[in-house]
Amino acid sequence: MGYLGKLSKPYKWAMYLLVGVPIIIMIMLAFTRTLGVDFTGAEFTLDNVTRLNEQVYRQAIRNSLVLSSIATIICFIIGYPVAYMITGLKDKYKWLVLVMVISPMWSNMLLRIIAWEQLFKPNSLLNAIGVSLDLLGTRTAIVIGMVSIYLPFMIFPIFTVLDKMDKSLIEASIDLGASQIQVFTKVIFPLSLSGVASGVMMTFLPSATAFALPERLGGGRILLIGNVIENLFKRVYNYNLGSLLSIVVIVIIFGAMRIINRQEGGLII
Amino acid sequence: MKKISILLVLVLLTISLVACQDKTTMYVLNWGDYINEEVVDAFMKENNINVVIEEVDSNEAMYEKIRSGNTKYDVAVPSDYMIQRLISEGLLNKLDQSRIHDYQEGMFEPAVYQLMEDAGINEYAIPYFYGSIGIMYRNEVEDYVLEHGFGVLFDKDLLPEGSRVGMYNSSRDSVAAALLHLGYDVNTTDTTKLNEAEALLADMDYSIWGDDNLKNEIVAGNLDVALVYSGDYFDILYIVMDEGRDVEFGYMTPSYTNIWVDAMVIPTLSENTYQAHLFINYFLQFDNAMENVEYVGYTPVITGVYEAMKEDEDWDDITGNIYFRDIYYQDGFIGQMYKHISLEHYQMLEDIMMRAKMD
Repeated sequence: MGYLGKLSKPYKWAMYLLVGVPIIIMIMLAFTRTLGVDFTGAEFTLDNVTRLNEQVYRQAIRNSLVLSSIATIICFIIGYPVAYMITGLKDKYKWLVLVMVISPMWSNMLLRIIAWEQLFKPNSLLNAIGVSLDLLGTRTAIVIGMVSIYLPFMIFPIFTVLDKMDKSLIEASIDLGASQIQVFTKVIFPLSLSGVASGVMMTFLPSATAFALPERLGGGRILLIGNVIENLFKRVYNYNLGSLLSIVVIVIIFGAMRIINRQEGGLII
Repeated sequence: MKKISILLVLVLLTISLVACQDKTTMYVLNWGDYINEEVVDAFMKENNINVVIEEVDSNEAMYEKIRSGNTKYDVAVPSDYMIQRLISEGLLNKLDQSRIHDYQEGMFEPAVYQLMEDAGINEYAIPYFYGSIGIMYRNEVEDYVLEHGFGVLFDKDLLPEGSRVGMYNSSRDSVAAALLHLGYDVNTTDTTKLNEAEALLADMDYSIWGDDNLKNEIVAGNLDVALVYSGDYFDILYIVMDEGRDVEFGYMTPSYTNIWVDAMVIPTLSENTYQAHLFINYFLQFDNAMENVEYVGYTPVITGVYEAMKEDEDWDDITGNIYFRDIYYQDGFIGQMYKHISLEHYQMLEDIMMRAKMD
């Protein structure tokens, strides 16, 4: 550890500086009234905390949690079989399919969002084949966007775990008389749970905090918590309430991580 | 070794030569695509000044940049209410009229000048462009729009079944449109009136809450009517006409609406106020103002420039449209300018808009 441990020092300090300090500033902002990040004349107040209970913020948080949960579940339903199927492929096909899964990530996420936005409009390219999706501004559009963008993050961790799994365990369970279904439910799936947990986190977290995606695909009509925070910072310069909401989101996310962690016996990422 | 030292000396020489250029650099804070670069280039050449232009997309961002002082801007182009706020916080210099040689009494459009005087900002600002908020529509619904004005944005029953309505995704503008429709003052702080405005916004089911994209969606046929800035409309009109496509859309400004003015100001942090005055003056000179209008395409604030445009046949499509300028001078037209109210008020407007979007 000694030598390598030293190598990790710069990273550790960068983390303290770039994660720790901003969070401390956010906590300070959350309980004061200031003009932007200017702390001169700041006074302690709990006004922001009482405002949290307003319906707008509660509903924005609920929107985020509901839509990202749906997206995560769909990602899992699609992602697990895909990952399972890829592990079963011959090596030469395996890399081909993996490249196909990765290739959308080679183009910028915003571009892909805008591409979906174009297709979701009533008048779009798709009119040429007689289709008008007309989904812009709906929750469905946001969920489709989230699934399409975060699906690879579900497939990869699951694939990695499945691929590295000790095949002798499967053979052993078959020798001991387990049926195909039992092999899957009693051996393969439990062993792949750590991959599922990372996959869930890597799709749930970014989609719960997304703001560009719901802004574009939601036609500005559906507010997720990311949009509300963005508005507070960019439009009304209420850094105080914005910081408090961000902290609330961090707390919710940490809470979610703990729950997943506990179920996995600390086997996370 | 020798070669390396020669190279080093050369590099150092070039650096020092570049650095030694006897040119002042001034910083201008502007909106995107809102100035004719050729005019700026000519200004730089004539006065041996280097001009750096930075762009922002909101008054709030402009405020933040001027206030932070990370760059010491010499000229900025904020709008009406933001100028008031900057003045109230002591962030703007009074302009030195004696250094703006080309300024003449009465050279600006009376509507603009009057509103600026009422707002108490004309000692600090020289107007740049102005306009209003209004309704852009597809030709199919023209009759409804001309008949009901802002009503089409707030009453589902006034438009044919299935019409798509777009709203400006800015709390100040969307609430203002609702207030104007109700016949109230755009700057009202009366909560009952604001609640009425909120009820109107909440009751409508807007297909898109957008900004610059609203005009494009009207052209593409994805929206039937939308609240847009007059400048946005003329901007897209030029583009569609240039491309030789059919113009299937129109624009109207109701006779009771908001008028905005963007104006040039000099922040107190400016270190080159002499050059800043020169810059402002340059854009008051007829030829430069004309070239700038041709590029930007918004309604000019200088009466002489507008008259010259009107005489030029090439501009008939634009100047012939009463919503480009003449509406502001018709009997019964009332334009109201946004005033700086308070940060709490802006938060309240934002809350109104967010609540209106929630089901």
